[in-house]
Amino acid sequence: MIRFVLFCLSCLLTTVISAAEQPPNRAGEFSQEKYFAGFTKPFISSGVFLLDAEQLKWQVTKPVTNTLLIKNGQVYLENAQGEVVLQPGAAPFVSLLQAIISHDLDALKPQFTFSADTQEGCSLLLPKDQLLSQLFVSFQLCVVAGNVQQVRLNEHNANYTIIRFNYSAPVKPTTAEASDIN
Amino acid sequence: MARRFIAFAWLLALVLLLTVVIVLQKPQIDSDILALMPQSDTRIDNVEAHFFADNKQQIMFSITGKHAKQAHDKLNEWLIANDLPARFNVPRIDVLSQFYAPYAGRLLSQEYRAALESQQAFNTFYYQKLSQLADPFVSTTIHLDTSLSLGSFLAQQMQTLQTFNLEENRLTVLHNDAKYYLLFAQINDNAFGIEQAQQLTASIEQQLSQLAVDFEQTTVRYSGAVFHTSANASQAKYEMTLFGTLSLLALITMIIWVFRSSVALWLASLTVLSAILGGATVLLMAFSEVHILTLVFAVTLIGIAIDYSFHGMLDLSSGQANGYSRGVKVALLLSLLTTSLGYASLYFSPMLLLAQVGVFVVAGLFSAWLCTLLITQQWQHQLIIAAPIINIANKLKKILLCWLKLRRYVLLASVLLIALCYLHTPVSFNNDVRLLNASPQTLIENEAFHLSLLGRGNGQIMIMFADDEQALLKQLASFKTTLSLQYPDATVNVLSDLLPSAAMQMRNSALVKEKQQQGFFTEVENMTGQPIIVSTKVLTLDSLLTSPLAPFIEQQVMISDEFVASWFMVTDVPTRVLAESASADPHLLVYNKVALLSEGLAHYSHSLLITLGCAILLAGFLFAWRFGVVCAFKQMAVLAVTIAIILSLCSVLQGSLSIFNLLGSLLVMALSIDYLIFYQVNQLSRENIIAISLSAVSSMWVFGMLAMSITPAIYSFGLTIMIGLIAIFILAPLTLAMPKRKEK
Repeated sequence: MIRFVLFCLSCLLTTVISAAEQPPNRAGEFSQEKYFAGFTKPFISSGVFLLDAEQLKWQVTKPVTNTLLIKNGQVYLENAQGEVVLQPGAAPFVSLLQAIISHDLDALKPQFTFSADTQEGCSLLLPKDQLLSQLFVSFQLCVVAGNVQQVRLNEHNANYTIIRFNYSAPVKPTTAEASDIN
Repeated sequence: MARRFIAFAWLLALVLLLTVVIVLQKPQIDSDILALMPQSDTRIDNVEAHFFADNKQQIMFSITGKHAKQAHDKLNEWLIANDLPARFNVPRIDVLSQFYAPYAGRLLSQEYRAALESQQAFNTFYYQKLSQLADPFVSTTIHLDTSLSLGSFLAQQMQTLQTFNLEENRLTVLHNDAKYYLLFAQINDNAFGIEQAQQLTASIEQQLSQLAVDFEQTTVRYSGAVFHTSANASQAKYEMTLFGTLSLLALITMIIWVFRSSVALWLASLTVLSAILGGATVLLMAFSEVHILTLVFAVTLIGIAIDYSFHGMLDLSSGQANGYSRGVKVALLLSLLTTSLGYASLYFSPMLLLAQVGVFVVAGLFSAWLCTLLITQQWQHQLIIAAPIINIANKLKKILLCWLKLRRYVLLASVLLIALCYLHTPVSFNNDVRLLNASPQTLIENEAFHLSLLGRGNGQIMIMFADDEQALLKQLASFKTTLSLQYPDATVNVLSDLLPSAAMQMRNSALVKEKQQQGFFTEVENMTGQPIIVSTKVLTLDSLLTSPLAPFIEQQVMISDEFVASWFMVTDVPTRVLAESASADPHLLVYNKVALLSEGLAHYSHSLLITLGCAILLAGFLFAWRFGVVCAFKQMAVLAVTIAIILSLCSVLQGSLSIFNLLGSLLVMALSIDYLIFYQVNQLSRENIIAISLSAVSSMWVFGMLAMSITPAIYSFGLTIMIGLIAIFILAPLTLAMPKRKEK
């Protein structure tokens, strides 16, 4: 379940980043704010990401290190010991990933309903998938000048997550280089 | 007119008697094969239906190939349209969270316990959880339990429960680098009637054929008990119709050919009917619950009962006396005694089925004997043997006389044959119930393939019994811990994962409270602004049975007045190890239906072997009393050689023997004893030769034809009788000392 959601969201992010019609190699920093209903303040984490033709690496660096890697249609998680562990069961979503990376709207349409968001430059993706729609109301994508600036994940229980991207910052992945995984 | 009246009165009396017994006893027909097994644990009988009845109603499809997705969708639509709803339902995380929330802190995952080992480990665990892109368990539980013990517990349980991937609302699984779309459907209870099963199978096969046309390079496999029922029933129905019609026609033709009269046919039918009615009456008087297999096994009665009629009619048709000759009377009585004693020994068998068969056959034979003595002889003046038959009998007599002179060589050849067969294939028994499966190979392969898709290819079902709920949960947890230490890669999903014992829950909450006092959660409480509260409420089985997981739990656990039981699947552990664990723990059982049935069949085989031995011994005593020790020795030797030929030849032809060979041997034994008695009493008289030949040929037609069956059990039974009858037909005359005139 977790793997599935992680994978779908990673796919979504890949799409978001790819959607800007930029050259395929993308890298930058991100910050993530999680707002939980009833909590006094949000939980903030940050990290770096790297997207190229072969993989997406999503690495949280603060407050703890946590790395997610999608390569060759598989999802890998780096554990506490720094070992990269294959997450079995994620392979079925490879087609979804490919569709998102290539920004294949025809392939995405059966899985998401697109609607215009009230906020300028943003669009709303409503998941059709039974499991995703159980967890999320919608995904909001905001693109400025061809770059995805922000993604907001809206959950049913009034929790939401905002992820902001910064493409200009240099990326220094710590461990689990893509070349290690084959 | 009077004799017809007597015959009908006799039949009517038997029918009335049977009706009275049925009305008074209200007998039940039992079809549960496991209930017959003497060695099966009675606890299994109690829990089996509760645990596994639903599985019988499940059908499964796997679709792979170029257009698998489209084929899946089309098949799914068809299943829904045909009232075969999908069985699989994913529990909603938010609903589960709401249910488990009151028990937060009392249920801990392994990951959470490890995190509580140090403050740093807990902080890393906590921040990693929150910094993930999205964790549905964190999202849905953090407002209920800020310590995330609940979220971690649910994540661990759901990962165990959910075997498949969900892709655009379709279940998928990867197997050997290929993607399979899966569909599960639930069929109705009444689909297990033979007709319904065949109709359902036919319509599904038609739909799959259409899919094969519509979607090229796409493979659809299907499995489920209903398909086996249909395949086996279709085959059995075809064979019953074919063999039944052929043997009935052959039997009628033969009787009419010998006697040239429909009266003989009527008398033979009357004797068989009397046997069946009489046997059924006494059987139902003795047993209020009759197993359906008793009726199948008891069919041997027909083969023996009709012989009484043949001997009686041929003796009457000789016209040498008014009524039966003394020889036939004595022979019929001796035959009845020996066969009855043999079958009566079955009554003392520990197997209920064999005891029922014994009662049915003995009572049936007595009824047939009475009918032959009292009714058949009324028609004496209408019974005449056709002239061509007399000529054949005379020729046969000459052959048998020559045969008698060569008896040493014949016996030597028989022994040589047995030795050669034994050298080729030593006699061995294999009662593996799977060998009796007449299902098509594709269906068996699909079944095995789907088990591997479900990850149960090397799985073993086990059942844990306990006196009460808490003892059960402790036993399950203890077994899992022990096994996991020995086999770290083993997968064991037990009830105590979802429902830890009250003691374990108390230890968990004590641990969380201890860590709280040590300040493990202070940072979290500051960040969230919410205090962490450890629940004092105990999660019980009763509560869990009202949860969203209730359908799953209900099927996994059984509560009775005497015990509580739960089944679970263990994978990646050698079967031998599990068997050893089960034998060391009286509360633990390995549930293997195939092994249970095979074991039961092996016990039946053992009982039948003892019965065969008893029958030979009893016959020997009677032979010795009536015909002298020397003659009895010869007769016993012939019986032993006949049985040895049967078993050794069947062994060569089949590879190994099964219970159905022994069952066939029992019938051959009964017929053989009859032949030996009639040869001793009536020697090589014309009527005797015709009667024995007629008996042998009719039995071959009725039972031997079954050797043409492709159903392994029926084939074994038929082959045994065919070989046995040929052997005894050749060997029985060899017991004669010299030709003698018929006794008067």
